[in-house]
Amino acid sequence: MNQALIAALGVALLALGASGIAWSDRDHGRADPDRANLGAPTNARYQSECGGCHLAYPPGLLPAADWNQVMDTLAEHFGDDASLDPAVAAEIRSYLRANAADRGLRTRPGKATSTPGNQGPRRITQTRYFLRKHDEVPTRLVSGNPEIGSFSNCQACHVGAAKGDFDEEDVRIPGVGRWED
Amino acid sequence: MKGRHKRIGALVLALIAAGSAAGPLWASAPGEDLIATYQRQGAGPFQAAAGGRAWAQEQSPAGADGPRSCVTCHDSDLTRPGRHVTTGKAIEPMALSVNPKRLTDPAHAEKWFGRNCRWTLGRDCSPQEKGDFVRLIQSR
Repeated sequence: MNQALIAALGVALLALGASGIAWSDRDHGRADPDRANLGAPTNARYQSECGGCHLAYPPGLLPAADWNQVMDTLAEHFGDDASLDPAVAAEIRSYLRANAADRGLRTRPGKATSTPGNQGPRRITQTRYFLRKHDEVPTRLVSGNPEIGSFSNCQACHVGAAKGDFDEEDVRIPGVGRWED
Repeated sequence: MKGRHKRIGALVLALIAAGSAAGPLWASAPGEDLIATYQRQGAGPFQAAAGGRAWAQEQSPAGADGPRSCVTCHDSDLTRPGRHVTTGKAIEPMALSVNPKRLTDPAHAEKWFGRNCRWTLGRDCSPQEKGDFVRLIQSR
């Protein structure tokens, strides 16, 4: 009986210790894997229309004002004509806005401030939040890596990206392997 | 009683087997509905070889930063996966032989012809060009 209790206490202490180590990580990325899980986008049209060319990025990574600008400028979408049928565009816009960084539940509140008007939509890869999370990753490993090509190709390294999981523990950089910071 | 159940069971099985065997006869091959549409629009006959030449033909539409073709994002070998030139996202092979989903949804095919022809050529593809691409995808 006593031994069982001691064992349980030991396990609890170990768990505490492990979480303490995790919290000491500079950007808290490993503290709570759930925090790195934004969930897979739930709107089927968003998945099929936007996910055709790139990962259907979790809406919680940009504020509603930026998503509005993205949807207002689809004909000139970062060098591509991504025009959509108006009814489809309206559905996707409302989904993105409802789940945006400053609205939805699985977001990064306060970390994705919106772009001032008339400057065009911001790239997720240019938000302060994104830059801080990737500031230790050398560009040559990503943009200069023929197997990746761009920081916008999330799923090339974040193996769980399609499910909305961006946990640092699961990063595998093609040609490099696990990422340890 | 048991014997009758068995006979009914066998009859049902035979009907299912007949139905599935006949199925492919009723459904046309992937892409044939698109071909019929382009024919109604006055185009044809269509050739995989013409589609193949257009596939690799480099284009310089206004505003492009360099020559581009279908091969810029899809592979020159249609049985291999491609890669979106900007985002790096993998694109499933186009060849019907390795990707049976291709050409099975006409609306999907038309949407991508629209987007990709405008990006690559700076204009919509003609029904003739689209029919040749369909024959190319069917043949690989």
